[in-house]
Amino acid sequence: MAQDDSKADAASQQIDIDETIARLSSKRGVESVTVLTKDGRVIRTTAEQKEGSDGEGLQGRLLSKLIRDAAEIAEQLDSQDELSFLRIRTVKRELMVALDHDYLLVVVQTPQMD
Amino acid sequence: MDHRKEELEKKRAKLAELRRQREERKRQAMQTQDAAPRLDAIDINDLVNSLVGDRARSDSNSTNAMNSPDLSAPLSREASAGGRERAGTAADLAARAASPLQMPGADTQPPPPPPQRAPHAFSTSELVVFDFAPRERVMYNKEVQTADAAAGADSDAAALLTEAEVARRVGELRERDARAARARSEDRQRRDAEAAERDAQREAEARRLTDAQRGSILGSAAFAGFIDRAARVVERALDVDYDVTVDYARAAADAAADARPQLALVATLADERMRGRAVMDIAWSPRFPELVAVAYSRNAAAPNEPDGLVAVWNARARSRPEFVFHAPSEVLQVAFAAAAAADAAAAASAPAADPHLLVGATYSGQLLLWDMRAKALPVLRTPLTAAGHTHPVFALSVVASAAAPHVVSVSSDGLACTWQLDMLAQPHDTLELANAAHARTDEVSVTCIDFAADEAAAFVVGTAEGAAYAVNRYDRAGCKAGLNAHDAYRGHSAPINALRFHPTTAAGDFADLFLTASSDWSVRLWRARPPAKPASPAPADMRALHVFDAFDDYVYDARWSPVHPAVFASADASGRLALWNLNADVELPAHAAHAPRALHKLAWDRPGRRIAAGGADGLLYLYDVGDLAAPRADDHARFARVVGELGA
Repeated sequence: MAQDDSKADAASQQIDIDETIARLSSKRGVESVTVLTKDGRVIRTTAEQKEGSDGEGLQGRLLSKLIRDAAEIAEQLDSQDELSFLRIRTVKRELMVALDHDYLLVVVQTPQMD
Repeated sequence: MDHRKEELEKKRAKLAELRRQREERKRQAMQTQDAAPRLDAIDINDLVNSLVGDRARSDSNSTNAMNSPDLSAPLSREASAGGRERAGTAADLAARAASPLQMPGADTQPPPPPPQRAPHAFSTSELVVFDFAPRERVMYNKEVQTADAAAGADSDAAALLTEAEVARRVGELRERDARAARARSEDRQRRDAEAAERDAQREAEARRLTDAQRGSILGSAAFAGFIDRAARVVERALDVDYDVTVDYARAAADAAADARPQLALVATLADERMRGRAVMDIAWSPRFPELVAVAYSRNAAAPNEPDGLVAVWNARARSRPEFVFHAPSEVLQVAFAAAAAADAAAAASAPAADPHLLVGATYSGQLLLWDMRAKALPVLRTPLTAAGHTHPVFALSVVASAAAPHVVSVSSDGLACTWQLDMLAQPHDTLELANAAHARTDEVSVTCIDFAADEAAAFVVGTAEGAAYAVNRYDRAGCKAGLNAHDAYRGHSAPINALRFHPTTAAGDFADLFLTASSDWSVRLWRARPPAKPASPAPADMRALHVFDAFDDYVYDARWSPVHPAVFASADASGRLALWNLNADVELPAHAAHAPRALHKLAWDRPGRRIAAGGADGLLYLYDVGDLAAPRADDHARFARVVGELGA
């Protein structure tokens, strides 16, 4: 948790991060969890890379473009506002993007009907 | 660029020079031709002169006077002089004669003075030349490249090129120029394309983080913070399993899910950090309806972890707590500081307590204040001195008052303290609760307290001896401040574990009803004596309105529904969560759900649709009450009748 790891060293922090990602990806319906920099470079991903660097590069580049555009829209709606979360719903899947100034967290989910 | 421009300038100057020389020569050549016929005339004149003599000379002088006064001299010379020399002289003469007329079209530079003897009188007219120079220069721009081609080797030959040839050359050069420009632009385009390609390549390279970069990102605190926040957001989003895109027309008709039991367990909230601990207290946030704070007991198996732990769970994101707070000692009671503003009227009038603040009472006697915006450790704490509590504080209540929200805490030695939330250094007020009627010691061991709705000056305490007592906080109307030993609510034969006043809703007045849950396997319903009424002179034990004894273990908690006047829930050591509807049945619970182990505490959420319960296994169970506790219009009247019958 953020409150108590201020003094934790980088290694344990990395473990924490990996645990968080693992927990997220173990949730029901979650297909993949990817953490990227704002410009679309992959830091961590649980998605198996299908066609090598191409798959992740494509997703990263397109996502960062999309985020830029979405941020612009948010800014146009209200100049005091900023983008904080993005959901993309397809027929089969749902893409959730949580972001801040530097990083993106992308979760691809297959919604489960109860 | 500058260098090139300079070169161009130089070339232009050079070309101008060449051009000028060429023109000069051309002109001279032309004049030579022009002069030829005149030469004949002059020759004839000479011949005539030589033949006719003086008479003719005067004529000739008169005809030639306009040309030059000097003309007489060469003319008077022998006619036999060489043709070439004569021609030159004549050309000179012609040039000189023509020069004033030709000057407007002449070159920028004054032509170098002809080598032969020139009369001084003509030199002044040459100055006019300068006026017309600039226009010529502009025209030569086209021929810039000519200098390159023709300058060096055959300058003389080039100088004598005909106009057509010059035009051809110029055209050629122009074309070459255009070609060069085209080539240049093509080159630039190609370079741009190459650069773009290189950029793309580099970008693609840069798109892949190096291990060092990745390591530094993973190690940065900012990144950890981001992951923490973002994961929380996504988890919440994932936990909301409502599918907004569902198409009911197409969805399979599996509506069988509606047949679920009424008191259904919908979620179990647990975390590894809570393993080995038991739930000590539960409190819903009055401000954020999905947040619930849970206090946990000490984990004897993990001496390195903090003794006290409070987790704030989100009923929607159930996989882990939103916040975890630490305490140096076991936290026995927890409450939101804003709990005071329970009803809207109070919230409007009272200064709004901060919804981010949590207050907890500990086994060591300290009261702690946590802030959700701060870190895990408390932001404020009371001192562990005689000024405050030195015994475990089992009883804590946040009081809404018009003046200021404050906290009343009672420790197990009977010391009641009032605290201002922004000043925990010392209690605002202390009150010693004592019962003089006790045989050996006058101490009362308080296990729980509660305030009646809209009553801040008096409260009721439950004790370990099994009796409940009314307490006045202030001297007023014939009542002394302190424990009112005369008004004892006796009946339980074991410690009272919970005491809850009825949360009076707008319709109907049940503010004087309260429930006590005790370890004697029963829950009792009481009607409190109005606190303003002077105590009866003789000790008069109050009797319970009703005893709910359909329990087969310790009863740890009982709480009224916040919305239904006749419904309360109870939690007992057998792990049963029972829902009682007094309008329907006062003997047996209407519904029940079972947890695997003992339940210590329960808490209704504010809309009265969910119950959070926790106990010995440290898990927090969320039960969906559904419409069981939804009041109908006549429930108040019916409950009033039921209470009347019970009291009779």
